[in-house]
Amino acid sequence: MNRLVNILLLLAAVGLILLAGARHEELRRLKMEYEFTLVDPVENASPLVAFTTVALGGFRGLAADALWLRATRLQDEGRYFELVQLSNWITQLEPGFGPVWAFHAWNLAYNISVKYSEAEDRWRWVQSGIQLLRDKGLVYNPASAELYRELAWIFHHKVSGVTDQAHWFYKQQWADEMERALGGATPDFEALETRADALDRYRLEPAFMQQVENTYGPLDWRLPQAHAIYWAAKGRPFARGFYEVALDRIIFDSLAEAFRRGKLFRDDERGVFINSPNLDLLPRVQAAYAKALADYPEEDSIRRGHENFLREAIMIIYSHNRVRQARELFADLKERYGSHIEADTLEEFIPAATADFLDKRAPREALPLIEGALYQSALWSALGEADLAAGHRQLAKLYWDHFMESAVSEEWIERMALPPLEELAAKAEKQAADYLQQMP
Amino acid sequence: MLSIAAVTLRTAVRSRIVVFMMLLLVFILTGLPSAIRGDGTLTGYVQVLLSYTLGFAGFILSVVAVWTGCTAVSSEIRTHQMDLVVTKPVPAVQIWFGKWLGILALSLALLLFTFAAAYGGLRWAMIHRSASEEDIQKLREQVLVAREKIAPRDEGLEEQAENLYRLRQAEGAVPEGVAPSTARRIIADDLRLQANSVPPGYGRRWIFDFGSFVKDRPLFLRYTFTASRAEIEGLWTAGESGSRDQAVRRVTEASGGVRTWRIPSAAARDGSLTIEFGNIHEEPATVIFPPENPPVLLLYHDSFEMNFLRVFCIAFIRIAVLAAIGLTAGTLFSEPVALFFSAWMVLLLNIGRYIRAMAATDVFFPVHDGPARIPGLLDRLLHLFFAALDGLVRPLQSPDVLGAMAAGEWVSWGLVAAEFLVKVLIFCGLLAALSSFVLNRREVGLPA
Repeated sequence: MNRLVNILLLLAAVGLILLAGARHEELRRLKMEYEFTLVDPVENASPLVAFTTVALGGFRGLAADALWLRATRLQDEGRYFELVQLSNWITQLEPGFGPVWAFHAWNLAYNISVKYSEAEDRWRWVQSGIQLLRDKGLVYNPASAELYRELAWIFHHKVSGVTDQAHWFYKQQWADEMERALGGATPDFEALETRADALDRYRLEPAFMQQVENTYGPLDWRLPQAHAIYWAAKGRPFARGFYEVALDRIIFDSLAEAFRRGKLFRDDERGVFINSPNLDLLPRVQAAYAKALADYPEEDSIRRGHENFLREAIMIIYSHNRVRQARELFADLKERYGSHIEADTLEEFIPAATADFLDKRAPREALPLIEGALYQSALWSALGEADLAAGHRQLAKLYWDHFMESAVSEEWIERMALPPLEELAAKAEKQAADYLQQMP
Repeated sequence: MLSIAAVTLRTAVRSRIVVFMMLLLVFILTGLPSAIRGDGTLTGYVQVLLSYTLGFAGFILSVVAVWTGCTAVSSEIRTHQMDLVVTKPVPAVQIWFGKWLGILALSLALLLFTFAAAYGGLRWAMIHRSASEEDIQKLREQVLVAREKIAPRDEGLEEQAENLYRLRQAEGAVPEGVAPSTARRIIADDLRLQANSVPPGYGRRWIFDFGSFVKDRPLFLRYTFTASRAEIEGLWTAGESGSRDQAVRRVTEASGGVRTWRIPSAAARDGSLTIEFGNIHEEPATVIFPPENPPVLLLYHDSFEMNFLRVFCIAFIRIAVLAAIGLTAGTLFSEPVALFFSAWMVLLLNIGRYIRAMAATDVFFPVHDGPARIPGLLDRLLHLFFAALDGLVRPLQSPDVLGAMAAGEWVSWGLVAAEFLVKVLIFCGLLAALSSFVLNRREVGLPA
């Protein structure tokens, strides 16, 4: 009798489990519909994460709190070696909650990295932040625009920008890695498809890279701007509200940066690593700004950004001897933002803007002027106009000296200093030679 | 007594909970090393490996000890097995000690296995994980060692603060309504901050006193500072000024992180070492060395293996205490109550830091936007309560020896002896006496 009861109970248990399983999806849907939970259920979770989140249930919040307290204490005490581990666990206890991933990635890439003096150490932490978002956060939250934005931002601001003391090291390390993974500045995307596993480590999809290249290129995929654009574009379909403009902003800002500094000249033997303007990107940047201005007419900051970009672009284009194109850009600038522009002609604008740019003392503005003058010098030299060449070279030196006079500290020099004039001149000579070779 | 120990050991090994915990222990010791991530360096990995495997395993062993202790007596009373023992001419204290020894034997075996596995994992990582030469050197010099931590010489700031307080009080400069302890603390904090602030163009000197030291090992200065600039240029010197062996280091370092300076041993002499920091940053920026976290000098004392052994001893002592707590709770109460009581005790022992902070609080309900409050009756009562709790809990708290070992800091035999004396001889002895007293008077043969 007892055995019969036991069998019946067992069957009942199995039946109820199956019934519960069958109703699970419906319950989950209702939970989301009535907003009983703050976050979407986690997809793609590894068995360990799935087990932890289910087994701990509501208590996983407490476990995350305890780990978070420990992480904060260790960080205050300067004991950083555990923090990657703790960040991994905290985020995996709340895998579907985007802000937790965003916070910890930011903490690793920004707050902890700057505690180190050595560039190698800093880069390790910046990479940890990138990896946390790219390799974990986005796996569990593949539709989180917030996480795409955070990842794109690290590439755009931390690696591509100049605010970090070690930014040159980051750029070189990233270029080395991408050179190894992609084989060069513009990879063969179709060939990459056949060895996609080589890119798994970076979670880059060759087909999507190709799409980004077609839409925004030609990009130098060894540079961080291309990756900022890639991740922002990848997250764009999932963006709503704030994240739409946030991701678009990263796209056009990174494109503008790629225009200014998106061509890489490197000579490892001589230790040369120079980012130069990528003039071919001008139409892409213009198109991206035009779209953003149309999509977000109420965003004043985009208009200001566009105006500044046009000013810089005119200078860069002009200094590369593309006077007609510079004149078109100036006309555009006058038409859109005429009330802010005192100059009536390009010839009036250039000297005023040159003085203004030199006074700003930021490499972003000064470098194109110097590079432009050196390019002119190299071009005239190749054409046999020695005086003209010497004059432009003199001008470049004047700009270079003027900028470097503003060096206020070792820290400033390390972060902001321009490459030596000789290296810039050698790069300009190569550019000019390439240009002349292409001429019919 | 030994027979009781053997029976306790046998019963524990048969317990499903204990078996489950043992399996979990094996799972953690084998699985955790492959699951953990350090900071990307071999040194970081080894530090996490040591803290985590031993920390998690220690937690499981603590649960095993408490659980086995709670059930050893209470479940035997519940199932009337105890009737057979107490009716024999065996003193209650022998029953308690017999059971305690049984649990300790089990714990010792598991702890040995745990430490052996952790050490094996460490050696495996050193052989199989790739690392740069610099990283390996750092690991050998800063983690796989036992380094004595030397604090700088006391500069008598407390005394100066007390004198200043008396002077201010005599002048009538201490505002009314400010509690004397608060005024003293503010003055002392102010003095400490002044002493540890280095304005532009100035320097700060620390003297570290120690006896003889191992001459062929480098010394390490560990320090942290904050400044209004992201990075600061400073000049460190160690040793006799003008001497050929004086160590000099010019640095540009980020504010806020914890730094280590490797000082060649030639710079130091037996007795003491003077270290100075000069603020030579071009732009005006004051450097502040946090008074609560001053620079410390780390001197090689002995090998990592000896440190590992001492940490093992302290871990065993801690488990012995937990087993004694569980056993006593099991003697005093029924099984579920004993488990809750033990869990509460363990929690209390683990929140000592917070209890200490509460015990140091004068005003529990401060007014944030008005003048400072004088402690009221409720504040005093709460202060007394937490002070008493702190007094009870503090002697039983274990220092973070795992953290110290992972940071390559020396865990002394003196600490092991003190832990043994206070926790095993005194505390466990008191618990044994209490349990024996209760067991002698408790009616254990009552019908269910």
